[in-house]
Amino acid sequence: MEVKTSSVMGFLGPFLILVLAFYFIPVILTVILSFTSMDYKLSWDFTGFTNFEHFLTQSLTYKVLLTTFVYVALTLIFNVGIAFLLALMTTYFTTHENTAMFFRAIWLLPRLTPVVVYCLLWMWIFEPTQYGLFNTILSLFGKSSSIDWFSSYPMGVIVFANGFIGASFGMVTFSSAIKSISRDYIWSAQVDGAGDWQIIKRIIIPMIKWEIMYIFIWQTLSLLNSYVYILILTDGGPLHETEVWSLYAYHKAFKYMEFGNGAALSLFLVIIGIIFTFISWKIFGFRKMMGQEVSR
Amino acid sequence: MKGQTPRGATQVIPKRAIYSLKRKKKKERRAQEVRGEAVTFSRRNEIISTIIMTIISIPIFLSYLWLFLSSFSAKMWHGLIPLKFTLHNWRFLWQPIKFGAVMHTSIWPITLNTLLLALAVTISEVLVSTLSGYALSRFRFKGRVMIQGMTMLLHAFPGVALLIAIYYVLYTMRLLDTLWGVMLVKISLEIPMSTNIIKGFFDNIPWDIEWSSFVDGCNRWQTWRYVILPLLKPGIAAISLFSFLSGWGEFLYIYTFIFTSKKQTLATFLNSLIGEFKFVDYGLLSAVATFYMIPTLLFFIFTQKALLQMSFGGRKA
Amino acid sequence: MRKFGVLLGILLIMAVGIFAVTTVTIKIEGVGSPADTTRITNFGDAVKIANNILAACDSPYRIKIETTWFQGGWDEYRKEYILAFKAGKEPDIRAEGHEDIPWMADAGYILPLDKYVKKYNDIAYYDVYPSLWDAVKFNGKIYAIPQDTEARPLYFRKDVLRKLGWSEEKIANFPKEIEAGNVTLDDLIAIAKEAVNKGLVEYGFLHRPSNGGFFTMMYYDFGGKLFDEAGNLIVEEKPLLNTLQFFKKMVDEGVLPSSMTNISWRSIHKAFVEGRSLFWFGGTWHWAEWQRVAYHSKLGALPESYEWENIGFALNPPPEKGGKPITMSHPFTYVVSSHTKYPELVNLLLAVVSSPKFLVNHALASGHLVTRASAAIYPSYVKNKFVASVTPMLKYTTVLPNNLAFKKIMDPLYGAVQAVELGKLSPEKAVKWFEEEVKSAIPNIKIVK
Repeated sequence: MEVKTSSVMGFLGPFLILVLAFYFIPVILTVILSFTSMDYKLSWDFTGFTNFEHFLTQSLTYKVLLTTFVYVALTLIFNVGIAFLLALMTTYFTTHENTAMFFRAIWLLPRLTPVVVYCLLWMWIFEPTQYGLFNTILSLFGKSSSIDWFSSYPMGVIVFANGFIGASFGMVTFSSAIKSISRDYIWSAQVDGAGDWQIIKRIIIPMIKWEIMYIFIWQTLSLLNSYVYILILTDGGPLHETEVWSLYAYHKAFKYMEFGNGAALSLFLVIIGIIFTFISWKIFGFRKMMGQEVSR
Repeated sequence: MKGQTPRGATQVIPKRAIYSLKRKKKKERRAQEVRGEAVTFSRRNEIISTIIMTIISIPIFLSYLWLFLSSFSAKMWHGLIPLKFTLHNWRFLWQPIKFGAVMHTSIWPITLNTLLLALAVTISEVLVSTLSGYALSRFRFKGRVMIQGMTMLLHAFPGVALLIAIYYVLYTMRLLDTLWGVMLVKISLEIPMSTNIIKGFFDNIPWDIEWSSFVDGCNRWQTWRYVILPLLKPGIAAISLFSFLSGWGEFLYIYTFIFTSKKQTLATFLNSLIGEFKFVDYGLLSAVATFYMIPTLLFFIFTQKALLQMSFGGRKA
Repeated sequence: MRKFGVLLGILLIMAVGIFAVTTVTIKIEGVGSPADTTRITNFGDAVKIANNILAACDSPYRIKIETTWFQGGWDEYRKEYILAFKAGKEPDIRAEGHEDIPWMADAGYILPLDKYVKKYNDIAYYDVYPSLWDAVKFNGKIYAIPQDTEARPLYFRKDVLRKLGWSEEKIANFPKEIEAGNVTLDDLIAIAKEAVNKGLVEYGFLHRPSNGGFFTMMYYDFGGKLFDEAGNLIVEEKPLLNTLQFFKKMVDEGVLPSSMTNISWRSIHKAFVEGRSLFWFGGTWHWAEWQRVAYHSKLGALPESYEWENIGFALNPPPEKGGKPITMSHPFTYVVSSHTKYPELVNLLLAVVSSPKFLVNHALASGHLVTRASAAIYPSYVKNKFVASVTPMLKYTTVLPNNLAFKKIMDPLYGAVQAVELGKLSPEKAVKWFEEEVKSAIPNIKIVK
């Protein structure tokens, strides 16, 4: 239906205004802010590249970079791995639809749980006294002293907490992808005497490689930016051991009130975000526009 | 089996609109029959995989169970097995929590704040995304492809990276420390996604249907009300559900943009309780948390089947 | 006719001005331990007196107050003010630790109060201890009204010492021995070790689990200075190393839990009031807090008699024999927003709330010390045994510096202590780590080797 721009604006107006106010302007502001020394006075003092120079000369920056890398890599492996495992088990290996549904539902629950409640659960799981779940389990296996997970394995804590919540997304996507593989392929492979492992390797993985790639890109992007759970669980500590880049930016801005510095740090995230978004758009968006629907 | 849809078509929601429930059931049954022929030699693997799934699901399963049980028990054996039933942990429902000389605010106004925020987010998100989804699906205008591309770009773009700048935007708009401000930020970062979903639904409603109802003498409103809306319902339901839950559970924006204690929500309330009682009064904490989980659990129990069939990416905080 | 109308209008406005009473709302916000709420509830009575004064002077204004008690950490409290200020939603009066005055004053968030201090000097401020005025000054101007002060004693369990075979006399003399410099920090460790080894207590020591003045006090105790003669901010390496080694030694000797900074406030208090820890590096306000918060699993909130029977307090011993013991005060103050519409009314209210009655009320309810000489001779204050026993500690007191950059030293100091306790860094490496952190935050800081 060919229509006038003015009536289109009636429909699209609210959307465009919101996107303008909370995406476009903030992106521009982030760029501008990162060249200022804005602090607790909230005034715009332009200082050129001082913020960036500051970060380049600081050893903490490199530590945070490494932490971020380790965190994203581990969580990615954990949650994509678990997602694939669950998807496989609830589709390929399980014939009882009810069992499959049960497990998929359980893994969906963390995603729907309010953030703070979810963190509370993990505080209990990793509780340093004998009352915590993991310490209870250890004591059942005869270990008498409790482990202080939050100080000894802070990275483990945040990887687990984020991994469990991230897995459901991959799980749902992979399950439906696996389900949509024509059974004929699998049957004929089975008739030819292929084992489960070979079917997974030769048929399932190649056939859902787009989905796997998509989940990888999506998860990387969201892990780089999702620091809420870390903020509540460890707040970056102890000793910056769980201080990932996005949390570092948050702390700079909202703990030390160094908005300029914080913006400079998040500028990197914004740039990475834009690059990744374009990549995923190029790879997946075109397929969609070509009429082939793609998983999300 | 359900996998009759073309490969890669995992964005099931639009499809669901067209499938009648009956047809789906039938398909499921057929799927099981079909698979039944193939399972003869993977019985052992099935058992193994069920065991593995059970083991890796233990933390999730037990922690939610613990949350519920410990809210009703005075004492837990090793923090796991409830020993004595009590309602003491739920006292916050009828009296404010007291800590020394400090009285916490009563939970009810905070719950109301949370509910209002969640509802406001839901309603405005549905409105805005239905309007824009309709426009993108039905109108041909200059810049349509560009805007459509933009919704897809933005739906992958992480809004939290912009938090510092958004703070400044809210400051300029005089919306800091208001739940309206939080609501606007929240829906803005979610509408690219929901617009895409709704657009998918409109795309699947043939233009002919709309057209024929015009021909039959319906006016625009009647067409909308009796023809389009019923077909759109699953999509709106999906968006409402997710936006409600994400508004209900929102933490970061409230933690960052709200600083009047009267305007806090259950998320920041629970967080401040954790701060004070860290690692100790799990009874009270779990009761407040269970209370906070009620809507989540209701939705979960009543809609999980539907939930499992829709793709819901991008809702990560 | 028109002139008449104008005249009538002017008359009407004047009439309203004279007879009508405008009630203005003054917002007040406070923060502190769970027993500190008198910091703001005092205003409830003070506002009545202030309104009587206003009525007596035929003022057209009356005051209504709106109070909030902040629940959250110090960083959040800071952030809240900045954001609220910029949004025009900040309270008119706010309770602040004195060390926050520099940045607030520097950014123009709070009013200089010299004018008002002068105005109300003869009734409310003439006898405020001079050292407290120093604590509220920035660039030579007074930015806040001192509200309370305190000491940070070392608490010990008398019952545990008894079980160790100490005589009542020896226990009673213990604080004096410390004051005389006859007991060192190492001696404390030895006593604690004995108690732990004999199974009398679970912990030898407990200290605060979050950042605070305590760690700076220990640095002072080991002779550390924060300023050179020219008044520049410095950090001395050797005292810092010694401080960290002290924490390391406590952990190594098994008298301090290595995860000290991960233990909640609640469990710490619980452990100490139940006698499961011999020493507690606390503050005078804890004495009141234990009487008000039910930390003890059997007794609930402690009766004061139980405290006198089982808990003692002393100065913090020096590291070496013959040294000077130490404590620290952290004066709390009221600051006034520079946006306030009614600076006169706000300051009247502050003058009223600074009267001895309210200061004493707060001090006794929350375990703090008063800020004025006339309050110190108030009958109920004089009679109070606890206050009488801790007031002499002020001779040995120290304060945190009022310096803009100081927070950037305090945070890494806490981090270094945490690292050493958790065994993540050796004291030597922690010093290195500390220096890196501080240098990156304050590029021109001088580190004295």
